[in-house]
Amino acid sequence: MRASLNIATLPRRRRWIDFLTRAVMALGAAAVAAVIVLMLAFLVQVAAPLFLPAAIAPSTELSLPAGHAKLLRVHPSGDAALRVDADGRISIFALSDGAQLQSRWLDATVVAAKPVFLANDLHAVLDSAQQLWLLQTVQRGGARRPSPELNILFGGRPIPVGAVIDYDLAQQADGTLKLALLSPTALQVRRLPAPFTTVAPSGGAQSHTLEDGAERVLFGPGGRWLFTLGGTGATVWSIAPRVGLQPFANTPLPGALPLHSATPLLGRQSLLIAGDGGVAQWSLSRAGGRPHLALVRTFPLAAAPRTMVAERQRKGFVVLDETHNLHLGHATSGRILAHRKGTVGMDAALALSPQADLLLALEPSGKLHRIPLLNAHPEVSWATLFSKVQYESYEEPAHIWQSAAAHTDFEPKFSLAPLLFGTLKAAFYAMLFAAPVAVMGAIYTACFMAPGMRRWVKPTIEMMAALPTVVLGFLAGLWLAPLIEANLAATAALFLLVPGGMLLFAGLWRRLGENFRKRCEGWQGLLAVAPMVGLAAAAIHLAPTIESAWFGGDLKAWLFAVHGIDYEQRNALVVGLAMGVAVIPLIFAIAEDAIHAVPPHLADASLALGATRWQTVTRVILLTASPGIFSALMIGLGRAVGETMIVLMATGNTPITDFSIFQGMRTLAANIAVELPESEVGGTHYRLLYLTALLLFAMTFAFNTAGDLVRERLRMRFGSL
Amino acid sequence: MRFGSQAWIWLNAAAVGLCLCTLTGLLLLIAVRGLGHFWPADLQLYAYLDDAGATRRVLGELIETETVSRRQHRESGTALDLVPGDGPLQRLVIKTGNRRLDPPDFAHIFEHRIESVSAPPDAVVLERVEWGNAHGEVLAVNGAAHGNGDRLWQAFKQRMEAAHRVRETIKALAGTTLEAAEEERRRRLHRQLDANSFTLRLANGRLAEVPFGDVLRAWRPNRMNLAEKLGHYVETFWLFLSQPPREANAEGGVFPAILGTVTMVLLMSVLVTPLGVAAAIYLHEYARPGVFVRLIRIAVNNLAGVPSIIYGVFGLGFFVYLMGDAVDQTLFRDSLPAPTFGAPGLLWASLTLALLTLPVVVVSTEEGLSRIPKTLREGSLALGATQAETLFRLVLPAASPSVLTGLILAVARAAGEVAPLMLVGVVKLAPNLPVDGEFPYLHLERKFMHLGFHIFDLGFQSPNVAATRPLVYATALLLVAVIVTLNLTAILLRNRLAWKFRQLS
Repeated sequence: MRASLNIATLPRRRRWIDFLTRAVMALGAAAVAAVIVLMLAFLVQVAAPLFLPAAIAPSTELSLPAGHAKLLRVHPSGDAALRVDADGRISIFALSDGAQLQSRWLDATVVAAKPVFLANDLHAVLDSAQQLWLLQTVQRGGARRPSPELNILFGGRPIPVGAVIDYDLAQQADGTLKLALLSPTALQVRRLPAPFTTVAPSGGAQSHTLEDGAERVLFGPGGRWLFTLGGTGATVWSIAPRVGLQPFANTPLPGALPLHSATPLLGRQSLLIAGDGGVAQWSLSRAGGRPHLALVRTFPLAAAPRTMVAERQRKGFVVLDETHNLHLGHATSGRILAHRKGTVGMDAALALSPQADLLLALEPSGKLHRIPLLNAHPEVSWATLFSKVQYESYEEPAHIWQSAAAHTDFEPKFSLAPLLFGTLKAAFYAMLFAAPVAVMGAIYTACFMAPGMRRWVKPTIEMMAALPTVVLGFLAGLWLAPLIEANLAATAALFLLVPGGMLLFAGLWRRLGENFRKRCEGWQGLLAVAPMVGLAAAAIHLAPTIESAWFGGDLKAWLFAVHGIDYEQRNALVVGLAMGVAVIPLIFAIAEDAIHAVPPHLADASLALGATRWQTVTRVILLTASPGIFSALMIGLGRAVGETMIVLMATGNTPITDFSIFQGMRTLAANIAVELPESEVGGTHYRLLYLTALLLFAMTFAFNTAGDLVRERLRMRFGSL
Repeated sequence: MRFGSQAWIWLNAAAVGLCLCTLTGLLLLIAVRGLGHFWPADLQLYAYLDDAGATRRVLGELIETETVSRRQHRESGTALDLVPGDGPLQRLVIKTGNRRLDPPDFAHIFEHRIESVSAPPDAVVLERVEWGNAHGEVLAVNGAAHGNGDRLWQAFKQRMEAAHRVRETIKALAGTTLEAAEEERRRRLHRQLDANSFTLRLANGRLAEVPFGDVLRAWRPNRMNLAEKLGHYVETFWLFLSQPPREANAEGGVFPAILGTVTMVLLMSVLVTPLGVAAAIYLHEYARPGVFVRLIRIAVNNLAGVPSIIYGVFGLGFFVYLMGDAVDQTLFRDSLPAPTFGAPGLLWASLTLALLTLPVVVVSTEEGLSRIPKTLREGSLALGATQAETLFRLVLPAASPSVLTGLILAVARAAGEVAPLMLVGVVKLAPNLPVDGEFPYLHLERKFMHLGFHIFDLGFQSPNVAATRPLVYATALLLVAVIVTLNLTAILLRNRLAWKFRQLS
């Protein structure tokens, strides 16, 4: 409405106020619209980086002294690197300018050098005099200007190891070390004391003869397993305290032999093995009761791989192939994420920074390439989010959501499928209960109820919507769930007996006197309570008899024994009932409004043509109001999908994909509530939770908009009637 | 009428009946369990046979009677004894208290094994500072038996009051700066608290020496008459409302949760009202139908439909991490990296809930505006008032009750909402209240406690769920009572309004 006043004649002050008021109000309205746009934009902005493609950036080069590096390793602080050269020189240099911070020489040339599994800055160097040196880089110089410093353990003395082809070291949880030595004829495992002691290393050794010509030895998960590779294939060994070294059958490694390179992935459940055919992930599998290495997936490359380096905190890796190309890959998501052509010489040593955002490649000429990697979220792809993925130590590909575990080297499993499934399952069971009750209640209230009763029934049922969901959830989880578990047969009897009994009651009702029936018309809603309570009491009373007659005295045990149905206390039935109570008033209110808004002359015409009340209701009123009822159901569904507290409290919150009514679920909303406070801001998990929020937003948006559109059309149709 | 249609009508009627029954049943359940918690129930002394066949005694209040099927009983592995037959067995759940003294604090006794039940008149319930209630009989104070029961009780009472006074003094000292002399005085008072003790005889006959400093309240329920019990009930209820929680929320009151909820809701009202009312006025008084108005309506409808947890996600990311960080960078640089506003807190929680309740206020205000007869506005404009003057002098005053209705509904919604608050500022135990006597009195950056979250925390994250159960019901009752009252007020207000405008036009 606009003021039809000649504004120009007003005094300036009044005109200003009028204008200002209008502007402020418009601003308020715009702010409301802005809120939802801002919400959507913010959710998208946080979630979007998940899908940014990874990239290997152009390198910057530094000139270092020439030499063939046997080991290149970035210090945990990320600003310096350790280099062990074949000629016996060990040095630490700064990454910013290549300045040498420290250097020393071993007496003999270096045969091999490796980082120690688990310990972050511990390295083992094998020299040509058949001695093993343990090096450690330690942080010195105080908190202001830290600089890494080299330290040789065990009092600076090496460990004599004899003639070995390969070796590996693992640090145990108690700090002690395990040393595996591979010679052409035997495999030996030695125990060494914790590295910070100065005692001369000695200790028990376990050994086993070898015939298959293995070339590499690698520790497996937790230092309890060993893998030997080469010759004819791979052998898995277990190291048990009493039994000693125990080999399991040799498995062939098709496509991986002859061996070019092998590196363990984080957690050492898997090895990346590079052969002529490309890179493949092999994982320790116990399928069939016999531990062996099983092929998980392959990463085909155009040229044969040459060198590999694995990330320290994720399951990613970088491969350098024979045509000087670099490839950035990720094991769990099964992808090569990015390539870069011909920058690095074939014989370069590779190293990754701890956060895997920088790749170092050192050529024998002394040329150091510093290559930034843009690869924040390699775990996430549409395939890992929605398809089955083969995870380590699982027998077959599966949909799994498991975002965190107690140990740091675990493989995060980010499949949204179980969460989406749980969300829809909870909504389905809630609607299964709520939709009929709410719609039937609305039909009765709008079409049959006496006006005097309707006046207070409507607000009363709407009051149900005000019950806080946290209270409903608490009652469901702590009161209803144990109650149903203890009285499962009675619950089942209630669901069958009460509706059936009400039909019987209706039949009996017809035999009552016409006058009495007339007087009760419109008040059946209240009258129905009496037979319902009676029927419920009968159901509860009869349940033990039925249970002992047909189900061996215990329905729950019978279900498990006969049908294999497992019963979880906080299950979909409890959630469906509790969430149903939360959703009923919403559906009821909208559906009742829609039915009540059907113009009375339509019903009158139908009645005048001789139709009964019930015929009029089903063929005229409900048909006309059906879009409104649909809209009510949609809005109810939107609410059920997004409900958090009830699901959080009334289920076990296990992300499983089992549609059974006696099993729980984890929904998107509950998952956010549980995990968001603990996720690291900006990390993959954090962004993924925002993605699930976006998904939830989209789902409820779709349901609500569908409901709104239909309601809008209904309004237009009634306008014309 | 044919049977089919009659049956359908009855089924539909039953649906309405079911809704009404559910609502009434739920409210009754919460009310009975919540209110029952404060009642000083009689203490019964049960003598029963345990699994080994020895007679044991427990003193406690009956919580409930469970029905256990024979099969369950057999599977649980206890020796089935004494009663033949195969009907279900009755099992009593008795709260015996005495954690630390004679654990466990709940006893489950099969009815058929009970040898005798009596109500010892001198049985006393002690509300302890730690470890919940204790049950027993007071035998002596400071080692002296003081003659007969009543004189002993008088002496006991006197000592309790003295201890109470000392505790008050210590509490008063806690706020002040602790200089050496004050510290010394405090230590002396604590020693004084622990110096006096009484001898408590437990049901199993053991004696325990309990310092008066460990006991907050004591009463003898078996000697109380109805009036005394009522008085005790009111006192307990008041303590529940006015005291802070103790022992990781498992004992004590909910005062910080009430204060936190109220502060948050008030702050939210201040934030949401201007925005919601302005938007509604624009939509109804100024805007002509068009794309902009349709957009805003879509926005309002969808805001109402967005799950509340999404508001929490948005609030955490946008308000707490983005805006909070910005505020810290500009205003609180000194205390970085410890966040001031860059962590969940009162302000961000209120803002988040203000967004959540925005559609409630908009819709209700618009409804109120549409009830005001057009003639009223036209009259004002015809007399030469500008639209702004019409708005402020006429339309807004007339619509103010519906604004209030909207606000009440918004407050009711916000008070019951928990999911978003878990992300943006609510904690299970806040070290400080959001409002106190320290400048600037209202601490916007503090984390706070909330009744709804208190329910979740007590019911699901408490170490001793069985012991906290009554407290959860009491808290739930409080929350439901507040929300139902608010909603009833809104409904009544709306009805009054409808009636008033029917008269006007």
